[in-house]
Amino acid sequence: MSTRRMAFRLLMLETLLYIPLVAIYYYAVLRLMGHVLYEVSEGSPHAYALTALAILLGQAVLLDAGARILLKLLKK
Amino acid sequence: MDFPISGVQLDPLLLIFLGFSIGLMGGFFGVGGSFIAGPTLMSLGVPTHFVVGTDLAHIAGKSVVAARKHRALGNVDVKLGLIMTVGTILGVEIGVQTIEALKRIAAVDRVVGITFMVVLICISTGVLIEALRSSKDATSDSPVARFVHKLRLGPMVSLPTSGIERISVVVILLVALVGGFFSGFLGGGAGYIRLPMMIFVLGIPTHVAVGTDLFEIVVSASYGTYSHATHGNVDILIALVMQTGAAVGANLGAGLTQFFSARKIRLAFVPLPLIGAVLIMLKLMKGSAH
Repeated sequence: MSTRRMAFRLLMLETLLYIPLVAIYYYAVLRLMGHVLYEVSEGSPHAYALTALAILLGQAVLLDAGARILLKLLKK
Repeated sequence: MDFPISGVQLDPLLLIFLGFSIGLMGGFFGVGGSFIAGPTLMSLGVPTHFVVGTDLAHIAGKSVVAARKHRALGNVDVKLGLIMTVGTILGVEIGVQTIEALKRIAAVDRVVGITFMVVLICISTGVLIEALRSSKDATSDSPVARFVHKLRLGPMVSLPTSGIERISVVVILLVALVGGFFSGFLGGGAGYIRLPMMIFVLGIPTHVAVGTDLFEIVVSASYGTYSHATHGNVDILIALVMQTGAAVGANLGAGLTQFFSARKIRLAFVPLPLIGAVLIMLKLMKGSAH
């Protein structure tokens, strides 16, 4: 199999692994923190801004790590 | 689904689909995708000041995913990105303050809408002309980039990752300042203006410009999100729902760039700002009809 084809397959596999991870992460955040986020937005603008950023930026690190682990497990 | 922070009701599936489309485009073209997200959210009835802030929030999250992917592919010039960050933050703050001033005289919708439309049409036309004129990567034949590389203004810096021997820090900061202003003023990461400027003014190779732009968008959009959130312009719940689709799209889009040439990426970019311009025009026409 050519390198290009291999790279494409790997990308598709990674995307497939990514979908459930993303869904679980955001479902959990919305379900567990939705009400809290609304209350914080009403109370403290700075705490709200920091929490929002932490959730958005933290996801990349967490999801990327999760996808990598799953990919390694699959390769084995 | 109710979004109590901004007080609107939106279909979450539509937001996820919107997020995925923008994420895919953003990862592939190195832009935030606000030229699509902004007008679409406006047309769904989200108040304009919430559109600007929420759009930035979702773009910050999505760009982290895409930038990490591009970094793995060797498409991020960290040195350039860090220098640009300084100009961007200043520009974002000027943009946010301009929005606040317009909010006070209740002219946000009209001014932002018209400015956005004009900017998008100009960018699309400019990129099309340049892409048709050059058969290879624009960095080698852009007259503006050649002039900039010869310019000896203030402190100079070398950018080995981008293949540039010496370039003025002042010019880099100015490009970043303009991008930052549009990011704070119109929302989004402003990649639609920064990406063409990086390619045609700074002379950065297209693939590196895409990756570095995303890296920069992470910084500018995060700062813009924080600033807008403290002014009550961000509905994080809308941003999170959009992000579910955007994270998947961004990862896929960034990965796909390795299968396309620089010229093809630039040509494919051309219709995108025009779609945004048409959406804004429709919104403005609908507003003036009421």
